[in-house]
Parts: sequence; structure tokens; C-alpha cells
Amino acid sequence: MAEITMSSMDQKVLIKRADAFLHNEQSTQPPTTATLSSLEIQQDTALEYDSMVLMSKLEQLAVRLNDMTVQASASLSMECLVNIANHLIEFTEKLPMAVAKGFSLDVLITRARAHHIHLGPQHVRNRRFSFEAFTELHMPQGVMRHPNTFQQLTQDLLRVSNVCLNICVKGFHAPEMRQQWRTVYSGFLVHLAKTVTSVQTN
Amino acid sequence: MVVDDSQTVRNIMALIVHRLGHRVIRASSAMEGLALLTESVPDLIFLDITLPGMDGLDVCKVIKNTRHTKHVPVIMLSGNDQVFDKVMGRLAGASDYITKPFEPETIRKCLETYCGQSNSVREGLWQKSR
Repeated sequence: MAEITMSSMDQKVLIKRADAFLHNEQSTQPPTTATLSSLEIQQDTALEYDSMVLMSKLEQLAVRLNDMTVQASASLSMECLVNIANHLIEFTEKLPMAVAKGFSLDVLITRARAHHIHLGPQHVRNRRFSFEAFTELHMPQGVMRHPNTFQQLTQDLLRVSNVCLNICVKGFHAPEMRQQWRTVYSGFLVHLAKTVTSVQTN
Repeated sequence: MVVDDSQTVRNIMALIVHRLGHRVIRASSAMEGLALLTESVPDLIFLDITLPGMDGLDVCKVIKNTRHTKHVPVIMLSGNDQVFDKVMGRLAGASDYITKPFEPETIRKCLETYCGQSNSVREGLWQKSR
């Protein structure tokens, strides 16, 4: 089984970057609409377009997760959730704000290690969650080794998605855009969380 | 009007339509949509095919068989790109068919085709940002 191993030095660097990221994230204050430059308005408009495309794609993945066949399989459901989380990570990584602060899944997983009890570097390969890693670690026969693990892992995946969506909200300059997209994202996440609870893990 | 059981799709569609300078009425089910149509008649209806209870094709037939709504163009929304569904949509009286996931540009083109020129200043920016 291939596992990503990190030296203690790598971990220290990641934790340092994670702390810096956390500090910067907390100090971000939303600007007022009146103070926005034309470039910022243009950036908001472009981000909004891309966010609409992203959410339309994610919603289709969520619809697939709601499918009876997928709901009956922990493996298919997990694949769907990993796919959703990876789409979000890819999108978040490209945001100028995230680029400037060195956001990556590795940093995120390290930073919030206390919040992601079950997810760790062993689930990440090439900067994305690896469904193969999930399979090897938790469902070698296509069935969850421990039924509880599914809910635990999915809760962690939802937490990662939530962090990404929060960063996406902060990617907007205009406060009203932030508010609108916070509503869209939270509605999506709540629906996703509800769908996950009905997956049959046995 | 947007009729879709997905809150996310309703929210995104509403944002797109609003950005393009139009007002939006939202419904989460066939019954809610049909009830709202008795109160006001929209210029265009985006209608999801897969709705709980009565499906979008049946709703479309009702709209097209009702005197005060039969002139309203109906655009079917579906996650399925099958020719069969498109044909069924046409037979039900739909004017067009959009496959999900969609791009805002597709919705803009629909609004332009069926509701005339969009009057949003953001439209140009959207095009520029692509």
C-alpha cells in the first residue's frame, strides 16, 4: 500500500504555513462596496461566473450521490464525495487570495488536524484526495471495513468542503456578493450533509 | 420563473437571471410552480424535468394546455443529455432544452432568444471574463 510519508521537517514547514494561513484568514476584513476599484468589481464578476459553473457541476455530483444505486453503496458514495471535495479544492487553489496565502490540501489537512480526526496525509496523493487511498485503507473489498468509518470520513470531507467554500466566499470583494454566495454554499452543504446521512454503509 | 427541486440550482439560476436584469419567481415543486402561475404569468419558464411527484414534462403539458400560460416559452432543464428526453420535451411543448450542468452563458442566450435583449451591464463583463 502506497502511503505518503512526511519527515518531521516537512510537517514543521506545513504547520508553520498553516498557522500563517490561519492568521491571515482571520485578519481578512470585508471591504465596503463603495471602496471597490473597477478591477475588484471585474474580478468579482469573473469569480461569480466561475462559481456559477462550479456549483452547477457540484450540484450534478450531489444529484448522483442522491441516486438510489449510489446510496446503496458506501464505495460509490465515498467516490462521489471525494470527487466533490477535489473539485472544490481545485477551484479554491486557483483563487488569487488562496494562491497568495499558499493554500493547498496538504496545508489544510495539517492545519486542522484536530478537526479532521479521521482524514490525514495518507488520504492525499498529488495534492488531491485519492479515492484509491480511501479504498485501500478502509474498504479493500469494496465494503467499509467498519460501518462507522464512513460517517466519520464523510464528516471530515464535509469539513474540508466547508473550509474551501468559506475561502471561496472570501474570494469576493463585495460584501453583498459574499453574503449571496454564503447563502448558496451553505444551502448546498446542508443538502449534501443530509444526503450523506441516508447512505447505507453496511 | 425557475421550477427546480434543488435549492442550489434555484439559487444559481436566480442569481444568473437577476444579474441579467430580470426578476425571478422560484418554485421548488410542480404544485408550487402551477400555483404561482395562477397569480402571475412570467415571460419565460425554466422547468426541471425531474421533479418530485408530478414531473416536468407533465407540468409543461399543463402549462401549454392552459389558456393564460400557453404562450409562455418553457425551457426544460435536465441532467440527462439523451435525445429521447429532448424529443419528449418537444412533444410536451417545450421550446428548448438545457442540460445540467450549465454555464451562465447558456442561460443568457436563452433569455436573449425568448425575452429579448438583457439589460444588465454585467453581461459584457461576463463575456469579457470568459
